[in-house]
Amino acid sequence: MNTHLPLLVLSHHGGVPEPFARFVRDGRLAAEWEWDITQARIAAARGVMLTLHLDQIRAMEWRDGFDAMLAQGGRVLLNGHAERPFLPGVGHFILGGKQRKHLTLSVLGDHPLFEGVDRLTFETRRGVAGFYGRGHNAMPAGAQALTGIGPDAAPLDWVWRRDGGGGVLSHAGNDLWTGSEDMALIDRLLDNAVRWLAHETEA
Amino acid sequence: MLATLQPGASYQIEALEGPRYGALFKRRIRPEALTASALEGVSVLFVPCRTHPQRLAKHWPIFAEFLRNGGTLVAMGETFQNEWIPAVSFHPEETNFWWWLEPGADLGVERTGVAHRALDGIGKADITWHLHGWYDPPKGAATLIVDRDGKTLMYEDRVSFGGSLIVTSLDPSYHHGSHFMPATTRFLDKFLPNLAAL
Repeated sequence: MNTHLPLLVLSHHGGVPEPFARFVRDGRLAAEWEWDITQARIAAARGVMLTLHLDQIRAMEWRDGFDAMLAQGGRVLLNGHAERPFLPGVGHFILGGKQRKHLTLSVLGDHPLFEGVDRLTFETRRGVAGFYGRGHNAMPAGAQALTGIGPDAAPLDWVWRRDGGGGVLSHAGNDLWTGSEDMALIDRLLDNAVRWLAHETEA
Repeated sequence: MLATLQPGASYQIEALEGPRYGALFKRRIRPEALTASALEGVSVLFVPCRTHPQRLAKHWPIFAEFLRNGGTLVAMGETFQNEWIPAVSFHPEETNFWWWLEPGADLGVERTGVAHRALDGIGKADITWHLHGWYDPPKGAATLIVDRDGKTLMYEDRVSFGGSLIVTSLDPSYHHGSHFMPATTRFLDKFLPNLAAL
């Protein structure tokens, strides 16, 4: 176990998702089954990526670990709808409207996660909107909105930077790597994500 | 009494505890807390879509006893039942999420002529979203839903273990709980109250 590597928490059937395979193979990412992960493992991690399939009831047992790792400058990238307060700063998921106009994306702020990636292309897949996200997780005071959704530009993506170089990045939608059929784009996005979790880019 | 396992993903929390269906489930049991005594008084046990089979397989003796005692076990889609229920033969298939973009397209999912109270009031439009795979049902099982080729997407097995084992590759609670695919909500609007009334 290498606690310095970013940790992908595996919650879904099928093991490491294919887009992550090269990062694991190249020794840039650790991937572990959620029931093998302890609170101490979370507390010691420098970067953690969570998927929409995370057992959030299980993750409540890690909350103090997240507190500790964030206080030490750790970084967490959350995919999905927050239904339990397992991650400091992340409020409950709020669903947007279901009409097409409620699914428009807007760029509200830059972030290393989106370096070289045009987020607006995620608004549709084959002309169908809603894959990237359909609402937002409530944002704490001091967080920065990155991507808006709908006419009110609700913060679908936001980052909450903490003292010490760490923070939480919330993407309240489907897993980031499922938002496009352009695998070169997904690869760039995941490379950005892994680099961010490895503290190679700014919080 | 209808009970459910609660594996804890956001979509499972929304589907199983949210205001639309939460009251139908009289008990929610974490897979890791499943025991025979946790199932006392339970007549129907719902295993929601996408519960990881690794969290279920070790409990097979408890599920088997539940069935032997006359219980109804409802094993939903993307739980890979072949990994936690003996005698399930499952053929996963690549999901075509886009079939409906062609005008007039029909996925071809249909109920068979076999009536079942769990499916009362459910029509073709309520079982049509996409496919994840099909089964070779055991001899003596009743096929309830098929694809356009007649392959089994849902069956009831009353012969292998006793009780009633309902197996399906449909995954409505995942999509409903993720707030997309309205057909899945229409399906659950009927299916879950039907299960509660069994």
